[in-house]
Amino acid sequence: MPVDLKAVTRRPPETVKIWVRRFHPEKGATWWQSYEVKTHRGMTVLDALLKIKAETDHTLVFRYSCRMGVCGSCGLVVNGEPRLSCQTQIAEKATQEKPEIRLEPLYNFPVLRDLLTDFSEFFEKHRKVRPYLIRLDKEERENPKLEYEQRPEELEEYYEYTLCISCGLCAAACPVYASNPKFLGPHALAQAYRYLADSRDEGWRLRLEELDEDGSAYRCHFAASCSYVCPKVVDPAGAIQRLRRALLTYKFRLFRKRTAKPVEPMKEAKPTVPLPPEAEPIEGVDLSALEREEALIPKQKLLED
Amino acid sequence: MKAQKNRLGVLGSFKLMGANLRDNPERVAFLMHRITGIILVGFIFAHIISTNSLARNGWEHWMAVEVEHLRTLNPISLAFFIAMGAAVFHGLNGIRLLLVEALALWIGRPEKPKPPYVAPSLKGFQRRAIYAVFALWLIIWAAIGYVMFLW
Amino acid sequence: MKAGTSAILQYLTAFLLVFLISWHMALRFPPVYGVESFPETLSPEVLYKEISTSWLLLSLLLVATVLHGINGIRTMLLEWNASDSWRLLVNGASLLAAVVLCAIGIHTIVAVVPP
Ligand code: SF4
Ligand code: FES
Repeated sequence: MPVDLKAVTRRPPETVKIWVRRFHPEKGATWWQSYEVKTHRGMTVLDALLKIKAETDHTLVFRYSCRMGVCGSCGLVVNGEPRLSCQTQIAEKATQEKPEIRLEPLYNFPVLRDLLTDFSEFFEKHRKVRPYLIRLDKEERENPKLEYEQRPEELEEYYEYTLCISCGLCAAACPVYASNPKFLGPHALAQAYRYLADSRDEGWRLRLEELDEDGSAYRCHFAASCSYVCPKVVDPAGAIQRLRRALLTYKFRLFRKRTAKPVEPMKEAKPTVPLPPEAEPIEGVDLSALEREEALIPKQKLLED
Repeated sequence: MKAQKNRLGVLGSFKLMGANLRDNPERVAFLMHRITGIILVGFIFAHIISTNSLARNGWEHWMAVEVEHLRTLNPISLAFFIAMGAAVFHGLNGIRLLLVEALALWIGRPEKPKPPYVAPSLKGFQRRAIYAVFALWLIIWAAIGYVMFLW
Repeated sequence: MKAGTSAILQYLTAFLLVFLISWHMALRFPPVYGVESFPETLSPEVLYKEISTSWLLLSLLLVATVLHGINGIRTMLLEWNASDSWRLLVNGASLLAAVVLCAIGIHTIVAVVPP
């Protein structure tokens, strides 16, 4: 998300008019309502909403939790652009000439009330891509005893995609998700690729067979709006292109993947690394005595807990 | 209690979601790729049917009617010119899309996010390719206009 | 048609069309035939020579264009509405349109007479 990092240092307009697209489920009515809010430096859109709720209109409904861009529950459309409301400065969106902000519920999600949207379809699609490691060895999958080996560059391959907080901004921005209800969406496809690219995962055959369907990566046309609005720089657009390449190569029987094995258990204690000869012990400290000393917490105690 | 449907539908393609030529030209290119594609399918229908008059009505009619239209500036030759522009854009952008979509090239490597927090695929070579596509498109289109109307 | 197959078709025809259409458009550049202006490149002698020598490329161009265009529109239309009847309608109409357009185009190439 191209956040204006300087915005937090600027003073927003004294009072800002906040327009909210509201929806009342019992009456089935939708309308735009405006609120005047007195601002302070560093005020975010979520702060403004909380202020409205506390001081002006307690019937206004919205969702938030962490207030710091971690939980991913406060997604809104701010001035026509999907944003996390807790990470959007008032000063970034409202100017002295036009002290107004328009808030809408996230596009492409059913609206339950006011700014509150229903994520069940979104999470259902996430579940569909099997967002977990698949191992062929069933015993090891159910009762894992050891860790898997993985090189730093293998971690790098998918690390970026693990940062996703499931905020749904990418789905709100995606033009294909908007028109095609079958499309799995940037978030689910990025997660599908995240597990496909993970060297510890052995289920690539199953994944690629399942993903070779209508709602999958083929529907993406690289508008890249998902990568543009993503607050965590997950880059779903890049993940989907790589997933599509994997699907195409798999179709031509060219897909190869190296999967990791669990590390072997240690046979015997490795020798301690000796101090380099140029290292000088601090005066008055006997190193060999330190090594012989009992640990503060006995090892047995650690294992018991 | 009933939830309100909020899917944007096909119109969602036409909303830019804050995208602009500097931050997210991919979206602009996507939209133009769609529009030029639709224009081109219309043009292909017309082109295949109009060139068929060669076989149906013979050369005289071809020279007198079909080619005559292209000699001067009129709605038909203008539509032809617009279709040529659409074809050039669709083709140039299509080359980029082939590399990006089918081969996953030009989209950078996955990396740990660092300031200023721009996704790798938006920083990749394809971004520069988009600007090249726009520039080449305008140049080639202008050249086609010169050949069609001014040569 | 499976989504993957349709995507591969789209990419393959796109790859072909990049070359074929460049060729097709470049031939309308007056100096290629040493003529005065763009409409002159459409004169009977020039065109007949072109059609009779490169009929194979032209028909390949025709088929690739029709497939690429119709398949593109088809995916866009399928995005519009997810119901099965719509799907059937769009697929049928696309197939029909593709066959008719190819037939008309091939007729042009086959039935053209020397000027
Ligand atoms: S990919 Fe980014 S925008 Fe999409 S849900 Fe995850 S964090 Fe949000
Ligand atoms: S409130 Fe948690 S991300 Fe905004």
